[in-house]
Amino acid sequence: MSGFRRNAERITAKFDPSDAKLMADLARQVAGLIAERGDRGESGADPVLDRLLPDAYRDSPEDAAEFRRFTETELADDKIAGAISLAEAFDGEDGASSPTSRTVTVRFDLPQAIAALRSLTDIRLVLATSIGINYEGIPTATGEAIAVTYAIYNWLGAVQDSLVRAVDR
Amino acid sequence: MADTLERTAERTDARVGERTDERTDELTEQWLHTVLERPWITIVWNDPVNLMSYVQWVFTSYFGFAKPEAKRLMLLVHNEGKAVVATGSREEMERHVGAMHGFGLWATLQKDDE
Repeated sequence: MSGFRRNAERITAKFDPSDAKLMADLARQVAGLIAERGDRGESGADPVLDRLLPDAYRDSPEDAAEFRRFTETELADDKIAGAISLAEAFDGEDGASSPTSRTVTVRFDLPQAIAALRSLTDIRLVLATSIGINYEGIPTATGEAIAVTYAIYNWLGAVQDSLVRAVDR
Repeated sequence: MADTLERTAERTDARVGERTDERTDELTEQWLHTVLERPWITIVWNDPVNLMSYVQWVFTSYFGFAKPEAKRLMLLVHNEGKAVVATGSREEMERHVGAMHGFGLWATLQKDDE
């Protein structure tokens, strides 16, 4: 990754095709995960969804459920749409990154970059919850796939930090 | 003499009692008023995932805080575990909390218990 650069209202970065494909795949998985969540009534059944679509009231399950009833669909739909847009941005110029191209250029205008920041957060939240990232930033889950997921999580953090810095100047 | 004194004491007690009742009513009214008028607050909680740079940017771009204030609040979240980022009506705070969830921040609202 070259890191995001900002030129007036245009924000761009180059990625290896395999990294770009990974990002697009992750974004589509997160979109799918949210889309297939079913009717959630109350929180507590799924830690990943609880973190993506959290309770608005901490000490009142009734108020939290009421708030969820009125707002969750819109919040979830925004997150799905954002994740799909992010995936499309990482598909590259031709709709899908061709295996022969050496790099994929990801281009955002400012609103797209802001939407991308939100979706990157959602992907990181999903990965972090699935491997049990603790307050030291270390995964608490064990298993073979953990190290790979942790590496991807850290890479996403670097991508997001670079995009925040490009947007916030 | 003893009788008179006792009766005087009774009457005094009664008057004090009345006054205490009135005062209690007044205090209850004030208390109710305070509770009803007590504002709601939006709290952002620390989480191990969101980047400090991102949280500060969210506070700047969504709430319109100047960078030093956004940074102060971000550090409060990071170091103290939470920060109150807005105060106002319940409806307003629900809007803010919904927006924070859109950014992936962990936010809740509650009545200000200070």
